[in-house]
Amino acid sequence: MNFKDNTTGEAMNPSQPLELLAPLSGMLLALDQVPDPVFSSRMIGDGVCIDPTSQTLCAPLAGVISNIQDSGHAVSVTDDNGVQVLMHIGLDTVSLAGKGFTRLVEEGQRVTAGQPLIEFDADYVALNARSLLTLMLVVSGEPFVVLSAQGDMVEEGCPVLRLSPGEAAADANEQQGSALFSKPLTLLNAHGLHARPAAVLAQAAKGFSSSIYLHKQTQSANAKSLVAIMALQTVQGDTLQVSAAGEDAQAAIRALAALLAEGCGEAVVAASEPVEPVALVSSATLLRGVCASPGSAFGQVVQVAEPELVVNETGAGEATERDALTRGLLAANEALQRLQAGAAGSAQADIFRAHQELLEDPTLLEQAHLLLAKGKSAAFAWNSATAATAKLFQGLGNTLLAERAADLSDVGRRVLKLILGVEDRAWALPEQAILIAEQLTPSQTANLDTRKVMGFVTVGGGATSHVAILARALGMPALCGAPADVLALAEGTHVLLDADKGELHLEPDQVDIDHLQAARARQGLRRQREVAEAAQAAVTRDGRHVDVTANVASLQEVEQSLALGGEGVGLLRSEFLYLDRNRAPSPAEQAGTYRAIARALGAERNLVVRTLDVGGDKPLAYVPMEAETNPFLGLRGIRLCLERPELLREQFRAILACAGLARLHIMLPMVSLLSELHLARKVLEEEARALGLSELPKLGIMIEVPSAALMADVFAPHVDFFSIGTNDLTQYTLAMDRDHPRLASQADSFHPAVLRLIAATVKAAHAHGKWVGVCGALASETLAVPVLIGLGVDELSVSVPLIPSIKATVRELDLADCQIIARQVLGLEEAGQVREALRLYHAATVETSSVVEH
Amino acid sequence: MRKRSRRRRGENLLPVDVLSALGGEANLTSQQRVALTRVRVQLKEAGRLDEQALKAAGVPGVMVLTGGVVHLLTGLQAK
Repeated sequence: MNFKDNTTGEAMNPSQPLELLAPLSGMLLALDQVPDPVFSSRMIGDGVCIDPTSQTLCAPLAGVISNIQDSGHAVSVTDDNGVQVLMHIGLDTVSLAGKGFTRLVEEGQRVTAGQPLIEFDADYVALNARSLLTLMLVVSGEPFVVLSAQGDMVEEGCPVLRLSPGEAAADANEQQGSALFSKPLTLLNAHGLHARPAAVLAQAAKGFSSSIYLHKQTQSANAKSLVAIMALQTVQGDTLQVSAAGEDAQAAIRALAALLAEGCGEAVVAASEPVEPVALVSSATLLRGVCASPGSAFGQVVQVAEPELVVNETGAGEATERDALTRGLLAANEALQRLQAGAAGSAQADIFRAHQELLEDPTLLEQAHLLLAKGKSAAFAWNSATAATAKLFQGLGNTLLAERAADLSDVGRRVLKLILGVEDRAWALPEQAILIAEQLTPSQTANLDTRKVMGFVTVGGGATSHVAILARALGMPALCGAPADVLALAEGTHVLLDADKGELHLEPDQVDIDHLQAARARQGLRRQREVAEAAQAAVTRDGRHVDVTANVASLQEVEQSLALGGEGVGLLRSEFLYLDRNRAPSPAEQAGTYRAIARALGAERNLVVRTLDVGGDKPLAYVPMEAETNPFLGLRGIRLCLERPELLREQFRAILACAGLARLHIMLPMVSLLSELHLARKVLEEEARALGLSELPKLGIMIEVPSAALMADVFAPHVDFFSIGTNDLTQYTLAMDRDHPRLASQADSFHPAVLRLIAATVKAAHAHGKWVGVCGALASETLAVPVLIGLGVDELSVSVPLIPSIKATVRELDLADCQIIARQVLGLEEAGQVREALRLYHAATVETSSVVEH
Repeated sequence: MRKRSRRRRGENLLPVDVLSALGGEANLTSQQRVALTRVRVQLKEAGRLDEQALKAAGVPGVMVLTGGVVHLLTGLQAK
């Protein structure tokens, strides 16, 4: 059948009203009711919402597929008169990344009214996305009447909207006369004109009768069409022009050029024209940001900017370009593998592992191959595929997806450079560099000579951004969210970065610099001494020994910990075997990893393996879970494992494979009920018996739920040890989300309530002859060490780089003093008071210890 | 206050006449709220579902899926 003949046969007179057919059967709802402001505000266009009872989305009118998202959840159809209708299946369905959707048509294809466009699995979408509510929006803006009442059931293929060709049809007629053009404008929006700013621009353009176009090099788009603007694929820094023809052309150009300069409703950085970079910063000598990694440094500004890559659209034949893409992907995969091996920490290695996964993303590859088939070059095809998907992610106002978009852009660029043969050079950094960038990507920082870097300042990002994670792993100060003025600072400017206070001083006082450098020198010396003495035991001055062990997530970290004086592993996060994977690691692979780690430790050292600690807040790709309203209070940790006992059994078997190679301890996370411990112990005993083990490994629980701490005396007879997870214990005790933007600073483990629960746990454990460790972040804070020791904690399991300094701190303390200070702080009112008391105590001990040493 | 009433509904998502139109409570292996506007039920015997009776019981939309899964449309709850 020839669609073209069909539709031209139906081509209608533009003055006739057009009826849009229901794309689905289902319940009709008013747009105002849709619980998503992007739609209910009509920012994208007016229309209707249908809660579907059918699973095939059909064309509401005849026309051309002007846009279909790779993820298959949204499609738009434009008819020959310019009427454009966007359909969006479900809310937040982009996060399904195409799963549950099957596209039946391609972009550019002509379709008849009623032709199936997308099939979807309604049950999968209902279980995995926020909603199935499906929008049909008239984005070209023609007024319409709805033909059914809200709440009615409509049948797929029946007319549901009647469009009046009225003003919008007049609009669609090209305005005659010569067009006026604006001056070239530089696009400032960080993510280009994605859905939101594009909607604002199109809305404004519709206010003028002139026909208005937006131009990007040789391409142009109808500025009144949201979809056309998005299809221009603009990016920050693009040069755009607005043209208009018609009576109000002049006014339209003035208004739209101003709107573009202001960011179309998005906050944008003022144009970084080379006009007045000095004037921008000379007005102030102090710029503020958010501390992303503590510390301070003095150094010189190095601006980090990526070179523009030139991409030719047309390829040299499909086979050639296909090979080029395959080679690029392979080379990128190898490079990422090397980066993982040399990563500065497990967090960074995880990022590169996630990047490798993106290289295999079927949707990306599909889109790239479609473009290759159209004769595009490998570079163009890959670039378009990654850019389109990244933009989609960024447009959704979801932080997690936005970070995913940053990863996608990063990996996209990596492959692009390999295809284009652009080499990544390690930057020739000057000494004492303070790197300044809009945003630093994982790939940029991977090539850094970190010995020359003193700190980071970025305009974008926050405490969870990549650069923050990296800076903390390297122990360097970093400032995020700095004003865009920093990008105008001249290279080589001497600045003082005080991340603790969130400040960047542009004309630092010599006194401040001297002070800082002296402090750094002292710190450096102290660190050297601590590392040199790392192998010595952590014994207080009055003879109390404390085990200082490591929190690890890989064999590599275990080896590092031993080199830094770690006395064992107090927490092996077994999730590292599982995260960022689509399939479960084989039992043999799991067992092999545990054995390697146990062998590295040897028979005399503790190895505490925590069983799988995942849940709705940190999901696993291949353990599908139903979405939970409140994942922190849902199926997490041991609860999930007991729901899926096969997972736990398999893990126990793998862990037991290393019995005897180290002093094996198994630890259960998130235990809140005694029955959970009993059930898990039963499974463990069965597996140990099946393997013929004569001796069971030690079994303990994490204390991270207040019920477990309060019942520690009841738990104690049934466990071999406790380990306190202070991060979760704090958020559950104070009922404050530790990632909450406003509460995070109060969700402080130094709160006396948390310390009292630790005290109760230790008391109960010791009464039954069991030991207690602390493996949460509190143990890694030197300030907390005296109170933890004073409360009687036997083991501190800390992050690897901090082992020497925690051991050194223990050696400076007196147990008797610690017990006094611990008793005192338990009676204080708030975390702030506890910190202050400990600071005073610390100042006193440091003074006396330096007296003793000299 | 609101939370408590929601929980009470959660224990018994469906009124008696709806349950009987689905073949009786014993014909349900599970029921859960999904996707803001739906109650998803898993039926043991899909053949015992009576769509007319469901409409009469005030369920405006019914989506019968494979494997005995049925979505009952509830509309958006007033805030």
